[in-house]
Amino acid sequence: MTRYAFEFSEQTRLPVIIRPTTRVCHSSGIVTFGPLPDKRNPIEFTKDPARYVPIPSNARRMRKELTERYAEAARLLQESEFFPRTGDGKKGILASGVSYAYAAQVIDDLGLRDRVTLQQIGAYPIPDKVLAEFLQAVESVLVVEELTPFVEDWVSLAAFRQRRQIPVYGKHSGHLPVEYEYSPDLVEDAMRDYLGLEKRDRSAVAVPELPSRPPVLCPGCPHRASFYLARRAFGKKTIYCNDIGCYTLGYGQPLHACDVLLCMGSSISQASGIARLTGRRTVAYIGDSTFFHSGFPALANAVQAADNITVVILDNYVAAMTGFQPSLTTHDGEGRPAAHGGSHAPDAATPRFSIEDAVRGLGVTEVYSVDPYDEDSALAAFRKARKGTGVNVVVCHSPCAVNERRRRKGQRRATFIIDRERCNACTLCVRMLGCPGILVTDGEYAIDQELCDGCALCAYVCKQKAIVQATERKESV
Amino acid sequence: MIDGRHSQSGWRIVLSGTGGQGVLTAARLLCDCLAERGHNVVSGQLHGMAQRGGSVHSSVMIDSGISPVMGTGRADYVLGLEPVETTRALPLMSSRTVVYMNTAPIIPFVIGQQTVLGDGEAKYPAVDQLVASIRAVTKQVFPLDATRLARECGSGRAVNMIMLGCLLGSEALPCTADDFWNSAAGRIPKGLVETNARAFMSGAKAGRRLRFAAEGRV
Ligand code: SF4
Ligand code: SF4
Repeated sequence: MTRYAFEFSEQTRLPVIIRPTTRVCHSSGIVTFGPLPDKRNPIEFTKDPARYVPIPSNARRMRKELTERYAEAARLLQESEFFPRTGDGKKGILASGVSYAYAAQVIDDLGLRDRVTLQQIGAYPIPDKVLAEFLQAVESVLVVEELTPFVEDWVSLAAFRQRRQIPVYGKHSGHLPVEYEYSPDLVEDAMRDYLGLEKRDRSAVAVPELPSRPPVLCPGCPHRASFYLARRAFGKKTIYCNDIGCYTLGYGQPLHACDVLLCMGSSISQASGIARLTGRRTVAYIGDSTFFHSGFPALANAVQAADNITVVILDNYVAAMTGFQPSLTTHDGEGRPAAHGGSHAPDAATPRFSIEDAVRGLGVTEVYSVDPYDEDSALAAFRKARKGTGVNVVVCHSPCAVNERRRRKGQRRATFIIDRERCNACTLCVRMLGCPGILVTDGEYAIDQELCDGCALCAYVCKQKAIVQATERKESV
Repeated sequence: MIDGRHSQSGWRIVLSGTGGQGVLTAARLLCDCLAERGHNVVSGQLHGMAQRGGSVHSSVMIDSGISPVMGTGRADYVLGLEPVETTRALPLMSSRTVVYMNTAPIIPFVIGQQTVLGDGEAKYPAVDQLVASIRAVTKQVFPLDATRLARECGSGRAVNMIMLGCLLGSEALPCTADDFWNSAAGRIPKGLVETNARAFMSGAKAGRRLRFAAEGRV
């Protein structure tokens, strides 16, 4: 499909969006590779301003071309393989996305091939001909698609235009919900209802109550240290605006590092707005990649407006949440920045990006550069920042714990252990940090040697000095 | 033979465990081996995040259509790497389902945290009770201490290999334990091959034993 999309885009001169929804992104199947096209490198750029500059005089012409290209796109798609139809029953089912796979599975499992006609909608614009032929073949339609009833409304409109009186079921009829991801069960229930089959009884299986395993920051994650220390300096009442990344996991117990969140880069502008309205210094947390992606404009704006905010940039040298893609501060451990797909590999001459220089360039004068695992210095910096006026920035540099482990290829730091004699079960380490490495069983505190990353943060927190480094890494056997 | 199949046309397998146990690696090795042998394989991550400590469930659907997710009661085999996570897959089981289940728990850290913070009184259920709740659905439950077996083979982390060994040793799939290992060995990082090989063979032995027992020739 991706390959087709590229060719299609060349042919129609339209941008194409491949839109895999949740489950598709978490699935895999067999892909057969075709031949790779010749690399046409370098590509000539042929000047044609009338085509590339959408000033009004060109835009008027372009708008008309767009309508024509759109019609061409629909015509091309009609010949594509993204609208297969199977079965020959009078009951029609229109399905798009992963719901198509569920509907197909239910049809197989229940042996419904001769009762229903299943039509897949695999691309947009949906060609008129596809819907016309489908509507000819069936007497009613059930539309199975996740979220917005897009295909459902589209097919109703198509039927109306063709003057076909045909019942269309789906979300509007209450067969299926508008919300959430679908499942084979949900689709099966809707299909049974639609086809007048007996409801499936699932009550026989009783699942006992089970403890959950919610997502948390990893053991050794430097964000945990930054959040803990910043909160110690800024206190409970300060409003913490957070952003999009692993660090969103600072939400809730026990770090409470996320009171407000909207979208990429929103932390800084929201902090500005909140600081202006409440008159109180407000904290914005933002990761390195998100800052590079969309932090600059809001920060420049906050500086000009002299907003009372502290922007904490959590620099872990990588876009961890999405799978360790390089960010501008990624480096190879020897000072060389990571490759960013440019025309030549980075070398000693390639400049290392400096967040501090960048924010100074935007006009921030109060900039602190800290390592959150140098806890005392970092805490002192946060305390100074709290007392500052206008915009100040604290940059927390410390590598992503998981990425470090990957780079160190399994070589790990010595873990920490809790000395039972000294621990007085004060709860501090668990209450403040929420590191998944610290376990409490029947009031006894212990550190899971498999999980512990040896970051030493809990040892810093423990007032009883009960947490000590194991003399050597104990492989749990 | 210990047969859990609901239909003669394919095999639907669920692997469940926690992040760091190698559920996704196991699923991947299984998929690669079967795809290599000409089977149509679709796999899905059913829920959770692969991060350490979270629930990780994965499906492997062999010659059974295009859906990466299965409905209630449609799992032929469940490989449970952890007791609570095995039980979480209960809705996918029916009276036909065959369940291989590691009995060594991984206690979620949140249980301790919730107790300390005073929100909620989550408890780790007794493993016997978890086994019983599965047995109420299917009689074909085979509990074993895979973590102990894995440690005996050199690493507590090789539970995934023990469980895969179990499944393949019981001759559940259209490929033998040897076929699988020949395909998998090349995909496992060099430093881990030896331990994993031992764990896989040990699991396969356990699987064979369970099969003989089920067939009444002990
Ligand atoms: S040293 Fe403490 S805080 Fe750090 S990973 Fe180990 S248990 Fe967690
Ligand atoms: S902070 Fe120290 S004394 Fe308090 S519970 Fe944790 S290990 Fe024990």
